[in-house]
Amino acid sequence: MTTNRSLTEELQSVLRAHSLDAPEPSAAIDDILARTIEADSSDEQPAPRSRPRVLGLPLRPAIVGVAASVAIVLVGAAVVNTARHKGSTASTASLSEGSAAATQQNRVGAADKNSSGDSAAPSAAAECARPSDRVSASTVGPLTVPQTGARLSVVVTTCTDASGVATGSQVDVVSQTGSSLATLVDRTRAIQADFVIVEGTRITVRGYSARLGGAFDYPFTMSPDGTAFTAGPTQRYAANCVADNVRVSIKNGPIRDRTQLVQVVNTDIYPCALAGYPTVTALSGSTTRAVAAATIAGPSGGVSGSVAPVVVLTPGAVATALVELDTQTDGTGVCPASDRVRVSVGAPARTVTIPVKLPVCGLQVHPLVPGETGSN
Amino acid sequence: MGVVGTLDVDSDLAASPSGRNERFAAFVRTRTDTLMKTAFLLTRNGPDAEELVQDNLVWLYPRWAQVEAAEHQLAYVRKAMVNRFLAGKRKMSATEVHFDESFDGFAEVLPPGRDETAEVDARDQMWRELGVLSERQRAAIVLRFFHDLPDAEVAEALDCRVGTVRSLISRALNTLRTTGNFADDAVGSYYLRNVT
Repeated sequence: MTTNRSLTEELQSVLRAHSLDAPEPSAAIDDILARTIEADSSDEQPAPRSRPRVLGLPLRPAIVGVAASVAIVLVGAAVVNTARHKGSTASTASLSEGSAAATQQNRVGAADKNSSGDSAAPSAAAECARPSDRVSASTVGPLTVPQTGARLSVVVTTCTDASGVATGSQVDVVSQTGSSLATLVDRTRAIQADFVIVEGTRITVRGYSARLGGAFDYPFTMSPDGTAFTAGPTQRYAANCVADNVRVSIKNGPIRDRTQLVQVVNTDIYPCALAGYPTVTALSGSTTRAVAAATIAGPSGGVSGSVAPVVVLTPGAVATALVELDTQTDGTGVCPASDRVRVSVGAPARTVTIPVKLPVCGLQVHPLVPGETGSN
Repeated sequence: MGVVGTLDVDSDLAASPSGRNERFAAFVRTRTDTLMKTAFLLTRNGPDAEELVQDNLVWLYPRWAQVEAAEHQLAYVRKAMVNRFLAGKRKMSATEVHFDESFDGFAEVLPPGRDETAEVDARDQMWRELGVLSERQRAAIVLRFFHDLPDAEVAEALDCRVGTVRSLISRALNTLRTTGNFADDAVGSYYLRNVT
């Protein structure tokens, strides 16, 4: 390629152009202030160094440590778990050198104020960022305290928007009376807890965040007396699926003339993670005829449950999203057809445009799920 | 429910005046944007860039008196961040899974007969080649050509001699010039003259 610019001019231009792809600073600003000034002013302990808002969770992709083993599967994740453990450990990043991740301990407060015996999930966990968000909760356990034999539980509360896309999960350790003893993952971190592993006194939360770069394991260890939960180093299990490592296509769905399947295949040698809906746009030429509505499930299938699952694709694995069509709902008895379909997955995303004819009436798409059927 | 953390902080944190907090907050609000751009050009990865910026400022917070005593606060903070970047990269093992975020999304499906290689933009090539550079070379390039710092200030930021900076830039430019046919320029020629 020839250019009229000099090397250094072109270099400066490239750097300036790509600097615009830097993340928006607002979330980082909030996080920095929360971890510094706000943490100082909200501390209840004598030591001003604690971080009550983020309890025991070094939320960074710097990777150290060993991944946990067999999972206790959480909501809607059974098929995902199977796919995930297929030869995935060989490609898991596992650095040997410790990072600067701070070790944090969650201790039971000297005055446990919730003595009413309320057995509901911790009240803080039920508060989502927006009033319109929906809440789903699951309990994993028991987590047995070695010294006392007390049986604790791990409660995961996930907030979702109307289409079932998770906006954040909170993971709490809860006593038998239902009072929260510790928050391992705060929902304001906008991490979707995929599943929780409880092995003796070790708890591992696998969470996904596109913003943080993929799926991560957050390990914790309970003290023998059950009063402290020590966070271990975070390990990234799978990075976000991006253009270079997946192939996208469309094929006929399980019900002929009423369904299509968006298929995503991991073509890389490492696992990758994604969650949510593909954007499916029906086009005629360059004109948008319809954008598929994002719905958790429909008459032909979709997600069983209320939360769009995290999908971790091992090398060669397939995820699909079911597209449903209704050919006779435009009121005239005739449903116009598009001549192309544009599919986008991920944000920001380049798109795949495929010459496929689709009726545009009643177009809806369900979340990506592991496997080839578009339903879990 | 209480929490005890074990962060490594200086003892002056407990005695920090509220004015210092306000100045720190003001710095964070006004300078995070430019620091994020620098971090992104270094790490080439959004989440890593966020982590680098955040961790650096959180680490500097208890040491903010030192930052305020520096002649140029932004340069001081940026230097700390660059050093953190270089130190972090040196600690990572070769098995780290790192994905190049420059190709988010999916490639256009091209009609048959089109030569995909002809579609590759020269700028994409240069951006990719920047990823091939060593971390120190890339840091030198970003400081010199994105921040337009003179060699002496780049050397200050990288804790090395000016000669080392010129050598880093020379080698980096020698790699980058393979991405296309460029017109001659005095700046490029100056550095490329010293390629070893």
